[in-house]
Amino acid sequence: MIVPLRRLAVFVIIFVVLSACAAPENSDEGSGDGGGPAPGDAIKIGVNIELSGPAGVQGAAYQNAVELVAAQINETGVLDGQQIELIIRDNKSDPTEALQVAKGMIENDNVVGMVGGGSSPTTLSLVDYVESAGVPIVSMGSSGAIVNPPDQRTFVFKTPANTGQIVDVMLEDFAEQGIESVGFISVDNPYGDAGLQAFQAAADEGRVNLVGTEKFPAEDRDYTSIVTNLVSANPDAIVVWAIPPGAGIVAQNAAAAGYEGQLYFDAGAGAELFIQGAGEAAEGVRMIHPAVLVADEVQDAPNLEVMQTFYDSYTEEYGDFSGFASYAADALNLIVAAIEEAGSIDRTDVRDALESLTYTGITGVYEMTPTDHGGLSTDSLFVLTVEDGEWTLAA
Amino acid sequence: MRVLVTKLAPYAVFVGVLLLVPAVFTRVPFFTMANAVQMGILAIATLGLVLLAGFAGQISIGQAAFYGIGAYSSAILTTRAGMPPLGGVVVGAVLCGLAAYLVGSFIFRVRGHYLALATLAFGLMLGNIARQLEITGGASGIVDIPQLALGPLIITGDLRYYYLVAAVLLVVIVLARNLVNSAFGRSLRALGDSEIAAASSGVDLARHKRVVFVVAAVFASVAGSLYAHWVTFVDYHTLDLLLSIQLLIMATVGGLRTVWGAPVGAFLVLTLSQAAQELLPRLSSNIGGEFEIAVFGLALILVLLFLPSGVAGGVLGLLKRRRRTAPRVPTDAS
Amino acid sequence: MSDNLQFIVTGLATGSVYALVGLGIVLVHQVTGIINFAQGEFVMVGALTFALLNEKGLGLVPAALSALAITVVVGVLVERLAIAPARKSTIERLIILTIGASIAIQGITLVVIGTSPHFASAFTAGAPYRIGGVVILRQYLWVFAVTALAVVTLWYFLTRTLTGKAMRAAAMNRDAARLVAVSPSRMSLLAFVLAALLGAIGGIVLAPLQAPSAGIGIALGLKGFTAAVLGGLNSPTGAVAGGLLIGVIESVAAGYLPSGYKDAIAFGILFLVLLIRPNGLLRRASSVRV
Repeated sequence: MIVPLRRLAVFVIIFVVLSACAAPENSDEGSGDGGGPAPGDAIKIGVNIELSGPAGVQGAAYQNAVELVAAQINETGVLDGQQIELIIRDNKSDPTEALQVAKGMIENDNVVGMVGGGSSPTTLSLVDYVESAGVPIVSMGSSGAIVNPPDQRTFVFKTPANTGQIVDVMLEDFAEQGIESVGFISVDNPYGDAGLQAFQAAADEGRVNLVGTEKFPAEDRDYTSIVTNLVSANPDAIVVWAIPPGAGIVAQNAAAAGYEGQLYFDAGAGAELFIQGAGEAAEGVRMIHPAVLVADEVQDAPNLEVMQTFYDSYTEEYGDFSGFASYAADALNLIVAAIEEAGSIDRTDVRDALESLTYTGITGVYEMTPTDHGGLSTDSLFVLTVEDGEWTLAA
Repeated sequence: MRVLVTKLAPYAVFVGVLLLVPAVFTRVPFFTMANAVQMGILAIATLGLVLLAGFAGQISIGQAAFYGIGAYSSAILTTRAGMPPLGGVVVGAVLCGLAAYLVGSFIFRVRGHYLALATLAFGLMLGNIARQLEITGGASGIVDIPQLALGPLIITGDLRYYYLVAAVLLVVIVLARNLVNSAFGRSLRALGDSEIAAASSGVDLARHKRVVFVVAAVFASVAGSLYAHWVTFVDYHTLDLLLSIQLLIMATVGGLRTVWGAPVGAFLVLTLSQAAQELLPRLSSNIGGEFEIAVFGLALILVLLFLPSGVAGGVLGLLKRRRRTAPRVPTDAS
Repeated sequence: MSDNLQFIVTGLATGSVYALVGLGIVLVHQVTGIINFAQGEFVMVGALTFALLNEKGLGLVPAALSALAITVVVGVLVERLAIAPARKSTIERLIILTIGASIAIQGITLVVIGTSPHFASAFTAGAPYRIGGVVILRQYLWVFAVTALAVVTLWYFLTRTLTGKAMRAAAMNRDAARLVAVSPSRMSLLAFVLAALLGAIGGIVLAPLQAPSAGIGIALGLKGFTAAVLGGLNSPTGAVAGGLLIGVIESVAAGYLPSGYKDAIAFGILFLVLLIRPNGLLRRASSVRV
């Protein structure tokens, strides 16, 4: 069938004109211009977490935690019985993906607030965006850069203790254990860098004798060379700033290299996967972590009851406990508490409520202020150790 | 007049399609304007690869390197050197072109598998270096990249960004098509068919390869810059090997020997990716990571085995065949 | 000094695995003329299957045998579904096909198993040996032994058995091979099976040292390419030597440079060798075959 040229030309012209007239729907982009959820819908809260990728072990725990907490909250509802709806998305441990996920949640799903990112790299990439979009978020990342400087992070909050606080508790334990020289190894990303910088700052202030530092890429599986370097310097202790599987592999490499000193880990190693990955090398290591991981051993803490209740319901539902779970549970609870406090689901109102909230969480007692969007003190951190393949309170 | 219409018709149709996209994408819940922007940006980068790997037959699995150079250049120049975004795009493209010229002067000493490996190694080296250097922000990357502005007009929102990207895509397609239909383009195609034959008819192989390599790099660079200003964040993942492979898949699925293969490929592969991400998790609870590449790989194999000229290539071939076998309108004489 | 020795010993261990990967690549290339971009995925499938089964409680030998079997099946599927149908295609198309196969394998693994790493126990338990300040994990010895065994077996097969010689014949000249009743397509299948076996063996011995996950294939494949290219794409002994060399260089580099650069060094070596000496470090460059 030959299409006569004139007819073809006419068709094409009509097609182009019609296309040009076709108007997109909803041309407003809602970037910070008062956009937000309409009253009457279920209250939507975004959950932007690492369900896959190098930090996948955290995301799994986060998801369990928020689902558990949401179910409990929805038994009574929020703001006169309204239900909350979680929008859970995978950021694949990738900072860029985390930003895209956040955009989608904020612009398409109209969430009131967001739980996430689940780690420092996946949070730092989106803080500027949420700041300009005016949406309150509570992150599970540990780097202080997430909430500092306070005047550029007015909508950003976090639930884990600050890196500096973890370092302070660690240094205290060094003094008690008679540790003088320290080697440091961390994963090569913003989370590990935060630890490294904090330690280097402490070293510059003369609070610790840092004899060597090493870094490894997150995807690597064998660090024998760099661990050998550190072990050769023979420090009293080696500090590891990584999450499983990396944390476990360092422990194994150190044991294989015949290291006899003390291994210290930050809260990132607080999961069963660490012990599984490190095997026998996990015995006797020390970790700075909130008490919830050993909730049944703690005698006295201001949030004892909250902690134990969560520990029990989590293990009842899911079996093994993961230290990461408490950060996500607290994040969600903080947002919901702020909504209740503010009495509204307007994003700015919720943020204002968050900023002055005092909340007894699972990780510790949060006392948020406009200049402190982390809210925890070093009281929330304890020294744990591995005995017979289980985490327990260190003597 | 007839010639003009035949020449302009494809572009007109393409413009029509580009204009239709917002109308369709905002109404169909499966798609978002962010998808459209991504399709456009990747189509620009893929176009370069079509010229390089399709027409000239030089397989490169390192295009993400140039995409990354464009993205990082824009990022660094606008955040550290205070350059206006458009300037950053241009400078990035120039830097990229220079880099490609330099690399192109020796990488074509090898061909076939060796060339593929060499481009692969090159791409990976660059990605690795980007992760280490301080100027590229190391493992943390560069945040807070300013949005693109055309003079005083700042482009915000996915819809407006899409129009910008679509415009750039159109320009790039026009350029590419002109290149392909020129004498240079014909030599390029000859080169792609058989280097020996082309060389013996006097085609300067080295020069042609280098030029198309530079063109592909510049296209990738522009795409990378557009990406940087859209996402306002770059890190070493931007240069990931997976991106190089994705571009190759888009080019192959769309059609390696036709300029239209780039937008068609980008659209199909990204749609496939979305569909996979919605549907595959229902198959298994363990699922994780970039699992949609399973679908990419299978699609690639299927296309290469059954539709080697790609979807766009196949459709164009079909149209040509119909035109050829169309019955002639009977004239008075017969 | 003992640090350097340590780097070298560790490097030899990982290098042995690279050697096995490189061998697989050389084998396929010799017989079919293609570079199998999916070689790294064979290692991954072998390693991950072994680790997964071992983790669930299956003993060393049954887990290893199952892993080998599954990897061979994957190799056969790749050859029959992707390579054989496109036999007469251009080199460009074949390159893209093996890339497609590689990401298909990785993707399917991600769908079925996900991204988490799985842990295999070392073949023999026990403390590492310490000789002169150098730590030699027992698993290293297994790696050396198994690699040596695999290489020797392969050599024997290629030079002393009829099928092996037939394969080498097909590699040298397909048409001539056909004339003496050697089927190039059968040889191609055989080459892939052997490549899958070699890859899987490498993965299995490596698994206790580096907990495998779905994503390890790409890096391993690349080191394998480098090994194969270093030795000259047509020399099995070259691939072995190349693999060991890469392993050592990488390990020493990680000890002295920031760890992230060690990959860049491996890729840089690949890049340079490809451009300067595409026929490997040992041979003279040949002219382009017309």
